[in-house]
Amino acid sequence: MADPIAVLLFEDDEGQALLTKEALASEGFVVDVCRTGREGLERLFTKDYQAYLIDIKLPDIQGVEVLRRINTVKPGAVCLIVTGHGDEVAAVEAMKVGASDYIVKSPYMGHLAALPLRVREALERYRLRVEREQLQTELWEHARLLEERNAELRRANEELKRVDQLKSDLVSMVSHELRTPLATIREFTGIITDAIAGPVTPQQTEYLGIIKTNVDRLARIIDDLLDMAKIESGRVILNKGFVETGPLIAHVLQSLRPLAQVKQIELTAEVPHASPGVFADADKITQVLLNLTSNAIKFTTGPGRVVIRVQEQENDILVTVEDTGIGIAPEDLPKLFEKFQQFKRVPGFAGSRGTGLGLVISKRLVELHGGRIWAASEEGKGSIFSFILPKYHLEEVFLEYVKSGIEEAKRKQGRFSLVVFSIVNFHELKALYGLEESAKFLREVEALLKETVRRSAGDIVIRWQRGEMVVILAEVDKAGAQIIAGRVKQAIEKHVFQIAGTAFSIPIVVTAATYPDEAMNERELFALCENRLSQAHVARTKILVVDDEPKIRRFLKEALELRDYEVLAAASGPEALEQLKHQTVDVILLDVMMPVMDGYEVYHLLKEDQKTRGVPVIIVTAKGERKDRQLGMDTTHYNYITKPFQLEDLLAKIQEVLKDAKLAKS
Amino acid sequence: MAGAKKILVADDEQQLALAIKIRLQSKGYDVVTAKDGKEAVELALQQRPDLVILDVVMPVMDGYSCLRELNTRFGRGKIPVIILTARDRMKDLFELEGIEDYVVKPFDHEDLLVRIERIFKRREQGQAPK
Repeated sequence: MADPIAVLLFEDDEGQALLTKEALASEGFVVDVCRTGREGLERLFTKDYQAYLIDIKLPDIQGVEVLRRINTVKPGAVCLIVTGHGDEVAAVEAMKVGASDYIVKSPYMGHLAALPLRVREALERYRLRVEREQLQTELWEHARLLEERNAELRRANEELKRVDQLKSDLVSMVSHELRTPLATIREFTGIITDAIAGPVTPQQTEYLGIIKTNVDRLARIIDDLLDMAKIESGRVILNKGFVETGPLIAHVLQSLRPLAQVKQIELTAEVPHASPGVFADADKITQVLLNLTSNAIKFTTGPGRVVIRVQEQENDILVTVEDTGIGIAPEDLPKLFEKFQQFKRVPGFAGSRGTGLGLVISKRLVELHGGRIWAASEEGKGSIFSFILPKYHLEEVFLEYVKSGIEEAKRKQGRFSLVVFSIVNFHELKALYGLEESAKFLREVEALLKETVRRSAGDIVIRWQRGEMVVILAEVDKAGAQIIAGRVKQAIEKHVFQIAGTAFSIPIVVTAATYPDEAMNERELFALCENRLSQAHVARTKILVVDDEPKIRRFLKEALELRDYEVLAAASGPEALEQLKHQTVDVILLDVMMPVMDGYEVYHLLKEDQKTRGVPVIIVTAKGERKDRQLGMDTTHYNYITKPFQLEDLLAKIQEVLKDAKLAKS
Repeated sequence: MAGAKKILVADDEQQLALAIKIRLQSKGYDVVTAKDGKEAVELALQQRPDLVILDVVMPVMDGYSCLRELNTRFGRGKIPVIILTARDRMKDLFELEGIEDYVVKPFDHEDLLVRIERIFKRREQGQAPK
């Protein structure tokens, strides 16, 4: 049983006081009674009272006044005002002054039943308030400490940055200070060796050669150390791009051939005909390959073989350097790529000591590219060092271009736009003519684009994505992008292309997106374009208009294109059939009256050919002509429209025909 | 030497400049050296070289400012300039101002000679500077 709660009751009525006292006592309270305000106030500090029950009408001081005085000396004290029935106004007044609650006396003291609870509730509220204030204070204290810590961290960070910068400056300064004297030594050694300062004896030449060798060695050590320092402090910036492995390996072979020849080592490469491309920093990868290959040569005594191989794997490119050298002892293998490890000393390898950093640097460089490097070896037989690099993905490079374009725009506070074209029937072309022809065709488009676009905007890059999209990056705003788009659409659609000896004109869909007006980063920009393009694609129904009259063809083309159809035109049956060999359309509008081959004949041929059989045809007949003339057996299923017709009717017919076709398919 | 092409070499590393000078002289060129950009411009005005080999990092006036100054004084591209740079990315900066060619330090003197010859041949044939 918890300690009884001490309550001071201000009640002048003896009877009520007694009843109240009893009501509370039985509920865990101990009640002291005072008859007047003054009496109670004097007793305030005689006991540790937890709550005060104050009758609003006291003989000497008003209950509210008592309340006020108690609050003055004991701020936050839990006081409950007891009022008479009908005295609510006073009660509310009391609340305003700071009473915790008010109790309305009921005529037959019924309020006493709820009194203990009310007091407890008031005490609970008080307790919670106090608790909350405590927590608040704690919170503020924590926040303050946090801020202090943050400040400390910020200072530490600044210090680190400063030290890092110092280190960076040190590295570049040391680099310069070490390299310059070396360069001077090398230059003057060369000048003497080349007899510029007078004739040189063979012996002098020999000694100078030794000086040069050591200068080179020093230079390599300095390079290694600086490379290591740079890599460790994360200061290596990869200049990634499309790197063709073939030429890179050829370069490595060329550099090391003299070295290999001296030792009678056969140095070859096995690279697939279409050498795979990697997305990498050419210099760094060359460095890695030079390191691995020169090691291979170094550690192959006498005649032997060193082979560099490149293999395209599913997700990456594998490069291996294999030698028939002395191999690596099993105990050395695990430590191979660690710092300052030296291979086991083998007689005859006096000049082979390096810094012990070559492989570590190679490992770090490969890993910076997101690749992996490892080695396998058999002592006495040879070793094979392998590393993998990520394959060249056009998308990554493209995104990098776009990113830097946006960055540039951000810097100059200008605009940057993507203008994207999609060749509408590229997939069909690719399917019909194969990869090589379509690639040639794309190059033609690209050349045309470059020519057209160069005349308008500034910084342009053109690339392909999935083969059918062409993207131009330009430092232009939305209006500028639209202009470029318009110009190129015109240029491409006017041009006649050739694929596999067939003449072509290609329709294209074009859209543009601009930073920062419509998108805030490269992904958003591209996604926006893709979205718009696919919408454009979906919306367009392809119609082939076959009519010998050029005026009609032009009129229909313009009218239908205005309504967002994609229109192809042919002047005769044979031309139409030729076009349909290379692309599919959704509807064919076929004029009946044509020379050479009339509409009906064409119609027959279309229905006979499996490829075009399913395409709905609207036959355009002239007034008065019998529709079923020479149609043969298939008289029930054709659509027609009679000249002269209203454009609206034609449009309605087209929609109808398309709908039927769709239903028929489903 | 009459008729010999005059080359101005500007590099704050005096000894390296001397080495280049010796090499170039052995090939029949007339060479003067400067130790900073300011001196380079002064010498250029005095001596009217046919080609300038300019180090990128120099005190007083660096390679870039020197190049601009030369462009201003003589007209852009009038005197061909080859820059000596530590990193090949720096060349991009200079190409804007119209350098004819560049070599990355440490460079091969043969390579430098070939480039110099190429520039002179181009000029002789009346081709416009790059």
